[in-house]
Amino acid sequence: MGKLKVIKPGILLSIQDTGRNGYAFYASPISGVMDGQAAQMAQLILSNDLDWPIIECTSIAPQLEFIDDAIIALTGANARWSIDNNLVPLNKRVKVSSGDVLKGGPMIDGLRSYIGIQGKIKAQNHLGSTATYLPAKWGGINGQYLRKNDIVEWVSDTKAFDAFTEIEIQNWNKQFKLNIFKGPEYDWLSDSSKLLLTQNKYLITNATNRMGSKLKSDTPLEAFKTELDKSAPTFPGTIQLLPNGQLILLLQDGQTTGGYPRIAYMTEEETWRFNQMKIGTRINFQMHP
Amino acid sequence: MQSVQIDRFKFTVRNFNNHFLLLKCAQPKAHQLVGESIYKSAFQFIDEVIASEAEIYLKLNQKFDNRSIHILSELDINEDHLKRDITLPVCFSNGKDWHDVVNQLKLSKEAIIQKIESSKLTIAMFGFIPGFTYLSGLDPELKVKRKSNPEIHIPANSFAIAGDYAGIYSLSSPGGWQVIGELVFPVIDMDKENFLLIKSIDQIKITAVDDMEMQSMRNKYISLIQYNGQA
Repeated sequence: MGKLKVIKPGILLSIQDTGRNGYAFYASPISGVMDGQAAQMAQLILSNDLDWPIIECTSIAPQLEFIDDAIIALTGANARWSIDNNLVPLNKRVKVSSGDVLKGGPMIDGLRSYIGIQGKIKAQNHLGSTATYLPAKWGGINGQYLRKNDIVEWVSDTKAFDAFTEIEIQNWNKQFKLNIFKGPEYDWLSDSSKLLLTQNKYLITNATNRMGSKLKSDTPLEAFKTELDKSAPTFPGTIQLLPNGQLILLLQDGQTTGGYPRIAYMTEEETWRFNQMKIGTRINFQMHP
Repeated sequence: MQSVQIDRFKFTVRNFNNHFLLLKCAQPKAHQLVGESIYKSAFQFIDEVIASEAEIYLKLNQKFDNRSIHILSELDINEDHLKRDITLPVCFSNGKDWHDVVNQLKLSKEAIIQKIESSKLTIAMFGFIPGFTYLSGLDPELKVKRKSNPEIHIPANSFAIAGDYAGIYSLSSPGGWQVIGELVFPVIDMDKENFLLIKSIDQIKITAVDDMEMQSMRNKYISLIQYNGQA
């Protein structure tokens, strides 16, 4: 059993896991980590189960005081993590001692960092997942983002201490070109807008959260119809055309139904890449043939 | 375009790169009925099912192959033994948007409640937030506009109307529907794996109760299901 205390939470510090799978039927979003690759890498480095809880940090790193010894792994964006002014490397097992304060700054090359702890982090389970989902107050600690003075506890998994396996560190593809596929209402776009969809540069606006991200281009798209007659299914990766000709990309906590045309979509893996791109980044799309 | 016959319903099937399927039927009710049946069957090749009013979405995994769609056609959609009549008691005394609703509809509060009680409601879909229930079949005279400025906080168990629908706020959330009542019993029980106590194929009847009756019902029954005499 180990504990740490949140000294400063940074931004949107939360407990997540691989998501609340199988409940979209009841309008429960899948939720979970925004960058599945980085989170998985931390769990692999620590020999944890892949669906165990992990701490997700967004944009600005938190400050955490370890009350007990721990073995941790930091993955995802580089936040210049340090303990006692000594830099802590990414993508490695790191031994942390009782009393150590782990801190970082603004993330340099991405938007999400993960703090994995060897063992199983204790968090509330709703529908088979500990992923923090604010609208329902599910998962995490009372379904909330972590706050100053919150205590995160974990149960050490002693057998894992011996099982050290070297894992291959995968760097994520940081290109700002995202692969998309034609969505159910792609053909609603005018011919010129079909071309614009892949020619436009899209700004990731500050209207971005765990539910979705509004994307803005200089040239809005045109469709012969701006709304569906009846609500249709949506999922993380769905790209909807808004009535003003701009786009919204639905993300991990996004709604399961919606009324705007779904002109394109990207895979879950591609949303993980997107979720590492900072607000203000200009991206473009490449249509899968 | 491919099509599949599932029991008496004919669906067109669009396959999006083996990532997902969209099934569409000319009879809108088929989406809930067949969607529920597919979901309950827990097919190995399907990770998620969403049944909206327009379509059924099936998220596929690696186990999907060409024969999978054929497996769907073997489903037996016998709704009669699945269908339940569920009565939702609602207390209409404290709904905060009554003033606006009465003004819009030019009907008395009593007349509106009476029309709601005599509406035969079915579940159009779940959407928006976990367990939020869209009920269709509302008396057409009860069509009200959504609020132009959505509220930040609508309490859980609120009963509201907007457009063609009545809606149940399963959880507290922001929202733009006109709130006119409070459900006596929650529709969610987080201790159950199927956390939503109502099913998409249920037929819903609203019965109006006053504050006193609401309290005594809450003392007498532990849940909506017990109140309805269901196991």
